[in-house]
Amino acid sequence: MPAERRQEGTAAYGRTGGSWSLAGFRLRLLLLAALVLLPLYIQLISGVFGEYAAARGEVRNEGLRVVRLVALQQEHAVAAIKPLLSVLSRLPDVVNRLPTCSAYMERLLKDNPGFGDVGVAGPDGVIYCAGDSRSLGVSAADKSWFTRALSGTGFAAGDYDVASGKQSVGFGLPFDGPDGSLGGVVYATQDLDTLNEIAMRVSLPADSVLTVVDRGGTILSRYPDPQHWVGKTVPDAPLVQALRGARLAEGVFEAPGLTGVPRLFAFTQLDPATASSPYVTIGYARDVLLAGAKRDFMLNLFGLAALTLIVLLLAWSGGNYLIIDQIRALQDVERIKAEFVSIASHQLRTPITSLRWANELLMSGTVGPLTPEQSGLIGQTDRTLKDLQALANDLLQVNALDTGTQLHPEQTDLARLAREAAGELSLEIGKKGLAFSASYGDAPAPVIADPLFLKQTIMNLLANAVRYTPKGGAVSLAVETGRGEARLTVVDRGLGVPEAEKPRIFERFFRASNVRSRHSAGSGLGLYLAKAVVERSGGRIGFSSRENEGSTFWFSLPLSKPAPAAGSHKKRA
Amino acid sequence: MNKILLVEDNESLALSLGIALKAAGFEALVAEDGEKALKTAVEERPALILLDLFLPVMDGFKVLEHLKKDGRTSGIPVAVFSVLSQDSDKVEAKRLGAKAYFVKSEMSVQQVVDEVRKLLA
Repeated sequence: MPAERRQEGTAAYGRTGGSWSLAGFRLRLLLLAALVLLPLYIQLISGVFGEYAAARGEVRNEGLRVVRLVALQQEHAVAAIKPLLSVLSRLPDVVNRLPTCSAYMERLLKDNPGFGDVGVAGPDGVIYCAGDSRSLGVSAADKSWFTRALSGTGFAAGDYDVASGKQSVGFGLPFDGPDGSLGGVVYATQDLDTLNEIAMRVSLPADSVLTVVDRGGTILSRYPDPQHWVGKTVPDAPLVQALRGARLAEGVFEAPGLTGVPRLFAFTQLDPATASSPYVTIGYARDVLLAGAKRDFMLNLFGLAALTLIVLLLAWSGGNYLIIDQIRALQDVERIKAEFVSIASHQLRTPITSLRWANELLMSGTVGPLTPEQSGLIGQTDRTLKDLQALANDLLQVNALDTGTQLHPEQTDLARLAREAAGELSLEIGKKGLAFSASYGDAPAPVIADPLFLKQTIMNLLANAVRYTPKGGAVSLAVETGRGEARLTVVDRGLGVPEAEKPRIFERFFRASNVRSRHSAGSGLGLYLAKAVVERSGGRIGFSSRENEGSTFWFSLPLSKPAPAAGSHKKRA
Repeated sequence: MNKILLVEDNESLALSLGIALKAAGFEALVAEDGEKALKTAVEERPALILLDLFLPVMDGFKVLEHLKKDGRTSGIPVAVFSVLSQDSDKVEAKRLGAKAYFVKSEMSVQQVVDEVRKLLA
């Protein structure tokens, strides 16, 4: 074959391209490489959680220490009040309601700036003796320290409250009068400004705040910025909500602070002995706490990203060298094989055609009459040539489908194609003396399929039926439409398919054992092609068969809308 | 008698088709390669050219191009006559001016003769 011609043939026949893409494979390879790094990413993320847990732990340790210290300081202050009230309750000035009582209390107040007031209320609650003269004559009957002192038998602590802009807590101790009946209640109120002083003394870390808040959401103390906050009631603040929801007397939680800054809080009850005790909290700014962790995370993330890039580059180049190049080589082999089959099949067609034509001329008597023996021999040769041509056609089609050649679906008429196929096989049907019946329905059966391949499919099914039905037997072909499909059925009374071989009947190159032993011709490609073509056209194919009784092969395709003008079908050569 | 120029390098095919055409009343001229085809076309002015695509020296498409460019042969109808049945080849042949496209492996010799008659009718 001249080089020029061979080259042209390759170009013309070379339909290549696998059913899967190399790019997709490469992507999977890279994903696999990236997957190797997944544990490192998981470690990085879990590290973030670890840092967060560590920050919480630090808050738990350090924050709780601070708030406990505050609570302890308060406890000491309160503890000092009890003996003081005890002493006062026995003073003659108090018990006997002497006019000198208030002067005494005034001096006491001056010496102890931590007190808001010190004094005595009568059994009716009216204050008759006080260090702060503004308290004289005022009724303390509704003060919690007063009611609790009377309802109990001894020292009582009142509620923490903010009255007239000053946050304080009162304490009361009942005492007997000279006649043994209730003389009144001596009291002292502690100025909670001292809490702010405590906060200053415990040297809070930067960006942290100390807050004392009661259960109603009233802020009793806050450092820094006490002037702005103390006395305000913020029951809806997340901090207050979180404290209300707390089940334990002390702990740690995360919430926005009063100014909205996200904080980690440690809290404890200011006075654990009192059920309604306010809470003392210390809140650390989360951003400040986690700044180190954030920096570490970003550094690690950049490091890991760089590592990922390197791994992907290695996977790319290593994958090329170790895998992709090998696959390319294999694909080349596949492509060359496909081209070889394509070229060989095409080149077979020319000599087959020339032999067929010569036979045709001999049989037609164009070149003179033949003896019956000569005629018989030529007829035999002709049948063999047709088998050979069918094989070449099948190989070409299988090759085309295997190498991903696209079918050319178009509107076509299954009934018309079936008629044409039956017409082309009429000679063989007649020669075998088969009883052939066909029904094509009353109307066209419009489907979307490649007419060339679809006709070959019908030819394959019908040729099998004709070939494997004994002389004088019956073969039928039917095309019908219904339920949105066009269905073609070929029934024969032929050899049938052995039960055990039924699952393999559509395999490439498979020929049933009973057929192989009787007919040498046949490529084992016809049904394989039929299935491929039908399924690629969106249809279904199937069969039922009993050995020595016959087979029914069918396929169905979705009906399409009929073409606007009948006979507008584009005929292909 | 109508002259038919058969451009075909396969001797056996050319022989069979030549006999069939002769029997049908045509005069069959055979050219085995592209250059001879062009020469014969100019000299003999056939009524129809049956042109194979796979040809030595010059392939069928080039022959067709030359035939249609040459004023002496551009009026002669050409039927491409190949074993190739790909759409792209058919489109290319039509573009270059072929009147018909036959896939010879799918036809009997009688069908070819019938098509020739139709083209000359």
